[in-house]
Amino acid sequence: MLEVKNARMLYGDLVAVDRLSFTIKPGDIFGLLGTNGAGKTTTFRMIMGLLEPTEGEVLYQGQHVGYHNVNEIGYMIEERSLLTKITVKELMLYFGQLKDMDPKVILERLDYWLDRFRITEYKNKKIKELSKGNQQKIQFISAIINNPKLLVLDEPFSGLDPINTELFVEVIRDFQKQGAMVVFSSHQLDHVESFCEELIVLEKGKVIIEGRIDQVKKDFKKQNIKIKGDVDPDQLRAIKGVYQVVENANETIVKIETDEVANDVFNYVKTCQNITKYDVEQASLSEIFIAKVGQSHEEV
Amino acid sequence: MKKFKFLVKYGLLKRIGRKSFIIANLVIAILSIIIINLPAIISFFGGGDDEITEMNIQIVDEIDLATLQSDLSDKFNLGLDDPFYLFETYSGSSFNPTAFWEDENLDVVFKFEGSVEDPVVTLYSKYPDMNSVFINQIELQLISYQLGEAYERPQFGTVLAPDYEDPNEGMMIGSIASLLILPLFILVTMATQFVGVDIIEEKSTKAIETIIASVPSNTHFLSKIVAAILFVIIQGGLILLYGLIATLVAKVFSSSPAINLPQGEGSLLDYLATILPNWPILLLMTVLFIVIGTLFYLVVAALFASMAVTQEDYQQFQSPLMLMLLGGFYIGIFAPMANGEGFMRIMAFVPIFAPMVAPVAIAGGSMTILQGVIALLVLVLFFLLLLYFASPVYKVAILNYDQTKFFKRIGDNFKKAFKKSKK
Repeated sequence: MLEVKNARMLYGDLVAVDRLSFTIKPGDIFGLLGTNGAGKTTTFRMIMGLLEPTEGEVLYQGQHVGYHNVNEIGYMIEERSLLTKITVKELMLYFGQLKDMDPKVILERLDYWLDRFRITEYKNKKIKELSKGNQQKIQFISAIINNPKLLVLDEPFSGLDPINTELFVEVIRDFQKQGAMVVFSSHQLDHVESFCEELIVLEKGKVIIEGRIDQVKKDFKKQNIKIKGDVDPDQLRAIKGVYQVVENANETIVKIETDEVANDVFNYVKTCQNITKYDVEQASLSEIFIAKVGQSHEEV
Repeated sequence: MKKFKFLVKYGLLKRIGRKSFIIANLVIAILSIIIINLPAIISFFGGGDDEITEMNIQIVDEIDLATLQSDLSDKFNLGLDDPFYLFETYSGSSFNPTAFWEDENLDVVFKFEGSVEDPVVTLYSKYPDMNSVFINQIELQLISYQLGEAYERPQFGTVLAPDYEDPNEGMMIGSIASLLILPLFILVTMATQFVGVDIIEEKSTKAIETIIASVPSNTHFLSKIVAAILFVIIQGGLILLYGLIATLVAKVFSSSPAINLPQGEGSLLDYLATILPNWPILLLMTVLFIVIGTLFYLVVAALFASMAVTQEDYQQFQSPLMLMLLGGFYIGIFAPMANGEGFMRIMAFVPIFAPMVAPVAIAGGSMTILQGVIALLVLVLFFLLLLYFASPVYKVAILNYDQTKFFKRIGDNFKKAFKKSKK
């Protein structure tokens, strides 16, 4: 189990992380979201023992994370952190042996993962000769080569195409099935939504959203109604509780403050012609994120 | 400890297990052999211009030996196809040395005084390098005259021209300086570059995060230093080996009749052995200064590299180190030439220059062995102090990507390190 207890990190007067607490159990996939500079990387560094919290503590299996238990942890940092002048094989031997792994085991596992990620031909290629996506795969393999029980992934899907993203997701799910704990950050909220059960959203070091995703969505009162048919957007906007109407090519999306407003919208839609779709949905994670963090961070 | 050993091995193999290392060493070996045998090579290819075809020797015979001239001529020219040593007997009333030094047609004068039983021989020689050859031959001849009598060894005296300047003396300090400082400077520069480049490569690619997540920063720091010092020792040993090979080559060359080297000076190393009779202690002191000095410079290099963020950044951060190295190098090379013995002695006690300057100062006689030991102790203390301060700063700086100005960044890293240490 990984426990982050009331962790606070100060850089001079700047509060990078403010009293952060969460727990990850074996088999959990935990998402850490936030805008740039929200404190995600600082949190990961605290988890890895690279930074000592100014206050609070981080415990892995009841102990502080240190060099005695770091071999059980896999860490992938946000930016590509590979030694580009050496080959894939040399890099894995280097990073693997830093985890006290036997070179023979490293090479066996490397062959397996290269095959799984469909890049066996790059084993003896220098890292700098690889494409960005393949470098990302190598970075991911270097984080999982030691079969970690705790996997810390900072932006693992960054720069990946959908096919490779799916490959990564499959592997992460496999680790979940094996009982590993996974904590990751991502700017791609659809991935978070698709396979993460629990999350925390940080903004300027403070927690602004936390809990299980379904509960977070439930707690977020605002909903979306998707309508196909001949509706008048102005009339929809006039309904009390409707805060936005988006006119797309094929459908109109009505954003409402609470689920009670859905009845008023439905009563209006009944009066309209050619209605083929009326669908009330919970707000997406992305919408919740933007609403909580603020419109200024829509680029996230 | 396992990870430390692995990192040291990895760092070392990264340097010596490569083609570039083998090629560089081949070049160094060839250059060493050429440089050490330069006098022999010059003599072999270009020495003909100054080659002596005959040597005119005048005998001042005050013993009255009728056959002395012919006997010496036979002995000196024994085995030669054509006589090389041309003898004549002085015919004037009293020998005038001043006239001899000015006479371009005469090379050597042997002045015999006393008696056959108790001879006194004085050599006036324009070729002092050959005096030992002359003395041996003369002694053999005088022994043959004394056969049947109790042998009385002749008394030999040598006189050099009043304006004679031993070219070797002028070369001595320069030779010592270049022989000691140049390889040290090259080795230290290489080693500091390796450490700096290794660290900045890992840091600029952010691979350092993965590494420091697996091994403590102190282990990483020390492993870099140890790998580099091992490299210096291996490379230094190889250079020494090349020197020995070059000396052996010189011996082979000097025994060859094709090359006419002065006896006993077949190579620069032979020559240095004659002018540095205390070479064992000097060698020991030099090795100690090299090892401690290199460690000192490596710690500085590692510290500066840890504070840099990019390769370009590191170029700026390594400037102080390069200035230190160059300062020591130039002081060691030029201070002896400028007769700056006092200055050199003082600089030998300054830790940032001591590794380069002190060995030369001891070898050149500017400082005593005791002073050298004190300078070494000062260096060791300074190194330990630096290590004490560098370790916590490295820990903070290695994961710090702050790109503020040079001095501010250094100051901030020190502040953070010791704030953390206090905590």
